[in-house]
Amino acid sequence: MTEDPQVDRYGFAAPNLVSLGNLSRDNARLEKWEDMLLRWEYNITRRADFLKKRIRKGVPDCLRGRVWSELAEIEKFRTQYAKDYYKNLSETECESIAVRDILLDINRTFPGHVLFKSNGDGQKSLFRVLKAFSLHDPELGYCQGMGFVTALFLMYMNEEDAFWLLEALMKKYNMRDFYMVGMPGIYKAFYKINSLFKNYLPTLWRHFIGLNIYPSLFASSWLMTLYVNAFPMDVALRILDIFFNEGPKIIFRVYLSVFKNTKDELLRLDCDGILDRIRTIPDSLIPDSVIKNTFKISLSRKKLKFLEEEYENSPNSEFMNW
Amino acid sequence: MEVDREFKIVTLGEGRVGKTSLAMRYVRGQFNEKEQSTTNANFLEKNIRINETSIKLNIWDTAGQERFRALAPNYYREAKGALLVYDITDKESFWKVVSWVEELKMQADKDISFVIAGNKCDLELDRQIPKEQAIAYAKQIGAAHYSTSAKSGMGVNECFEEIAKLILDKESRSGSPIRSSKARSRVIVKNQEEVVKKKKSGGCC
Repeated sequence: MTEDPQVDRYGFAAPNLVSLGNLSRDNARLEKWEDMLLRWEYNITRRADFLKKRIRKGVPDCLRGRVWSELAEIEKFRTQYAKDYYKNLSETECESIAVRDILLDINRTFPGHVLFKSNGDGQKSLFRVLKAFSLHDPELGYCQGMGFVTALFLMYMNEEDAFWLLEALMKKYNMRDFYMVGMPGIYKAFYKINSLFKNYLPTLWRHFIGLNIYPSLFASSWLMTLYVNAFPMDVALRILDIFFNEGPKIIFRVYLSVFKNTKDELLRLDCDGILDRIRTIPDSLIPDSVIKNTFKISLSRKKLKFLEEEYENSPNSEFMNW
Repeated sequence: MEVDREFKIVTLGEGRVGKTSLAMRYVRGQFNEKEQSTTNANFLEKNIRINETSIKLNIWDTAGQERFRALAPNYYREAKGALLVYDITDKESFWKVVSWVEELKMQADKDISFVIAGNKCDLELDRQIPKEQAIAYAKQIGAAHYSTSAKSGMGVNECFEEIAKLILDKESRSGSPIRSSKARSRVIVKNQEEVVKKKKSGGCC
């Protein structure tokens, strides 16, 4: 891939070129990671804290597919079904609303990426995985946003593994409600974000509310693609590494930290200025500093769980605006 | 920069009809053959002048997939204008416009102005929706209809500016451009050095 001068190390057309600086660091870590994968069971059970630390530093790019699959335990999902389950689904001809929507999106998903160029093999794979998934989970079908996430998986693994990782995303990481009809998961996330925002960034919260902006406004497009289509690829990948190990909590921490770090600027801006600035936030993000800042935000699972229950049972109306 | 008025407008329509391309052509003067699909919504703005009034258009460009209708009210709420886009080569996308009009009439600001854009007019040979039919429908609901092509630029400025004109017209007919506090279309009064915003009525979103 990197032999093509027009493509960056992630396979995107060169204008998005990200620094190659991390390449040598990646290589230095590769050996350690190869060792860790050899003794995966032991590491994941007995050395979880050590593994967590390693993952937070970033998984070497060439091992991402394997590491994500292991962390998401895709084998557990795969083995619940017959051996040729994915193959059969992917070869099934069908006409449905989901298939129609998928076809509308196929050549609009990472069109600048080497795999997903017009009529490239990547587009065909993406179609097969999404179609198979819509047959596997017809109630969910297909939702925009799933395309970008799946395409990203396909940059790192084969079709069948991508299919099972998608299944894990829905079932193990509870993302299914984000994409379901009515998008109940998104609304729940809005509630959590508004509440956390007030809690963690009270001055900015007041400033936003005074301007009739709710912090959750930017959440759906960022969260629905797990930042994959919103942030620079090198940042999004680091977030995903952590997501697969530590769960969805990371997406809220990132959200808060990004605003925390632009807070001083945003406080000086009016409504349009804020919307403008937020649109350009992703351009200036650097992986290591995003991750470092994110972990300065301490957020417990208990707190998130509490907010979820509050939302279900007796939501605070203050956080129900979006 | 002096702005007399600010209007929030929203683009709505079936997926892949060219909502983002129209907005990008209008605001940035660019056309990208490989526009990515929109998840949720993009925000764009453009300053224009209609007669003597300088206007800032805050454009919320939404995702077209049916499922995103669940989130659409967050974007069309308090919008003063809607650009309803269909693809002239796709009959279904026209019926989607019809259903959006129904929804907006029920749920959106009652003064919302509609403009319908029949996009992809550069593909005239593949047309599935007769122009007369679309114009007749627009007339019936009191909307303007434009034939557009985000690719060539045809009709793009016109359809967005028409929305601004319709909103201005409605306001001048209703007597006062300064609306009740319920309406969030923000009123900015230029007062020497100071920009005074109508408190708590404001919001570009």
